[in-house]
Amino acid sequence: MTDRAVVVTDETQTNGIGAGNSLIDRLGRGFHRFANPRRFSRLAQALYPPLLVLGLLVTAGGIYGGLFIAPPDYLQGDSMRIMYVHVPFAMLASAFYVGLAVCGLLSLVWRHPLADIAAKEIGPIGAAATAICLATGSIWGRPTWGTYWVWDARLTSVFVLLLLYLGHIALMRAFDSEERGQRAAAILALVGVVNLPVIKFSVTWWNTLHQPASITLTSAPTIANDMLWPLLLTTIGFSLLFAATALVRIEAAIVERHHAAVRLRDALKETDGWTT
Amino acid sequence: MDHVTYIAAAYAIALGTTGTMLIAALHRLRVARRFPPQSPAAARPAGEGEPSS
Repeated sequence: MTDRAVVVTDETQTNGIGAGNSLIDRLGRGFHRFANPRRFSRLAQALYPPLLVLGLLVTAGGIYGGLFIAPPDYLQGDSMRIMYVHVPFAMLASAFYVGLAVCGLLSLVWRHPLADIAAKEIGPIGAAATAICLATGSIWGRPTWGTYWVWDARLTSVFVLLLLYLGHIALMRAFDSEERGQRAAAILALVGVVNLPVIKFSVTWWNTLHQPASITLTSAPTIANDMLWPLLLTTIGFSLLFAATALVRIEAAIVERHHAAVRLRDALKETDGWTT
Repeated sequence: MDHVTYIAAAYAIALGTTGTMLIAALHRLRVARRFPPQSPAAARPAGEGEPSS
């Protein structure tokens, strides 16, 4: 059996990473060192409990601030409070897709087994974040725009992102050979990256019903501080919770694959015992 | 519908989905750790499927 699910338990496996000193080789060794399954397991076990606790506390603080402390918007009234659960998931949807693309690159260039495991576990989380973003945005649109949905550039490009996630999840599981599915999904993840700048700049490039960004890296936020801090808290909080979820899912997948490899090894040993 | 209904629906979707995913992931990890692999010989009832000499 040549499936990479089996070799994942081998700590010394190099997976074709070159021994040279080129940038690609050095990057490959760096990624490999930090993505070694056993090392990753130790890291995940140490990281996810504090991420979880911190995420719950920060999210609770942000939601309390958003619902009870932030003043209502002068134009939208209280429906603005949906922002505190909409914006974090919009950011997470794009961020997890970047993670998916990085995993795809690591898988295609360095054939890294952990990258494929991570991609398989990150895909459904990213799809969930995108679906939450679309659902909460749609609910926010009804009292604000008078409609749940319009096919404007921002909404359509985020919907395309959801389709990319669903396509990635389907491709991962569509082949008899797991490795072929991983390769096809990695290519889709890389091709789909072109959608991320379209999402980001859709409100600038086209006339959309969706408002432009209120918070940018290059200028001061156009949102009052009383409304801003709960948004920052919910964004950080949900990010921590989703990061913890991703770590737990990847760790569970590593444990399951390790058990599958042990079962296979025992079965092969027993078969050898019968034939010799 | 008033604003409270829209807000409640949005928060229920966001928190419900996040919580469900998190609990499902923790449960999956717990199950994976609790049931380590058994060798085929240990899993079989005694005397069943052994090679005849």
